[in-house]
Amino acid sequence: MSTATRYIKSPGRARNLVSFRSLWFGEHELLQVTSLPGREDYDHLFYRDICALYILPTKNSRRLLIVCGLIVLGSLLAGISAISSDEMPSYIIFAAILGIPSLLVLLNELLRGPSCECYAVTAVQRYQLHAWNRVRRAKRCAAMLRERVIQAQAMED
Amino acid sequence: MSRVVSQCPHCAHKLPLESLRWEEPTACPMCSRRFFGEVFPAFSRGIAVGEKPERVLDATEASCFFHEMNRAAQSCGSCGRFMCDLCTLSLPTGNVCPECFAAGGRLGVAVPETERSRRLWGSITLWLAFGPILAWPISAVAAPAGVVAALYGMNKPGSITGRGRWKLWLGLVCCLLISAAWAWLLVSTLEAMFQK
Repeated sequence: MSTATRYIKSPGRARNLVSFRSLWFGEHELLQVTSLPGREDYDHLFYRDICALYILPTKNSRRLLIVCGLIVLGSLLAGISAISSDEMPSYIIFAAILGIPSLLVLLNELLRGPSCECYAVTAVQRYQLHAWNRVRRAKRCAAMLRERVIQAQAMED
Repeated sequence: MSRVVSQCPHCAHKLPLESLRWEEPTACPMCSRRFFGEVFPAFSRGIAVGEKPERVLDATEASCFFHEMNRAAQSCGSCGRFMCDLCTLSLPTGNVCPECFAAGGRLGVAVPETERSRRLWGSITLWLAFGPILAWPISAVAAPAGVVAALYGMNKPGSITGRGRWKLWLGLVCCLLISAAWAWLLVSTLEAMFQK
């Protein structure tokens, strides 16, 4: 029985306040690693057991784009009106403080593309692959996983 | 008529195999949610049924460690104990017994495929070194604790992915420097007190 398995990191990472999740391609399995301070939790998903793979596009990124776009537009209009009417500079600073981070979030969202949820289905469970949370990335990584799954299941048969 | 083999991942409505594609999204006729998908050969294989164990007929035959009446069919790849067909858990890398599987391979040889969690001493050491930045007096206790944690974790396995070993060394160096700084501060304070 092998004791040292080499893992290749898949692109993508899902973060929350205390932990982050990443996916790794092993020789026989897809490994989801949940990294916590001082600890790592592992979820093993063997290629031979994967029955289906789904990517469900979600509206999270579109909602965020609309909210950030409105904030950027509002602060831009407020800034322009403040300059034209020679109002206090604090008003412009307030607009910049609100507008610049929103603009950065907006650009980041535009670059990363639409969001999604990716699931791997086995005979007994449906398993969310948190790190593949963007459609473009999920499709690229799913193609890598697909090759491995087909190869492993061809060997089983 | 197309063969119904799959379900919508959102509403579980049954879908034909032909409708699932990677190139373009499929719209579920029931919930109208669009998704990309693919079904693999394991989908049609179904859930594997366990084999029935054979009974021990002769006293010279090896029996299962967990079931004395059953004939041994395999040996565990982690602890080496004999097991019957009922107890054999087949992994892609070999067979393990239920106890080793439940213990994450801790009973015998470590089996990475069964491990569910690992303590990362490198990460703990780094936290002890840089954690008390805002409440810096705590570092008088945290830094020596970090040195102990680093020395303890030196022979322990790191991440299963093989990354992050540098954290242990960086944490150890930082904790040693902070501990040395505290020791120097303590000695110089005591010297000043005795000189008075």
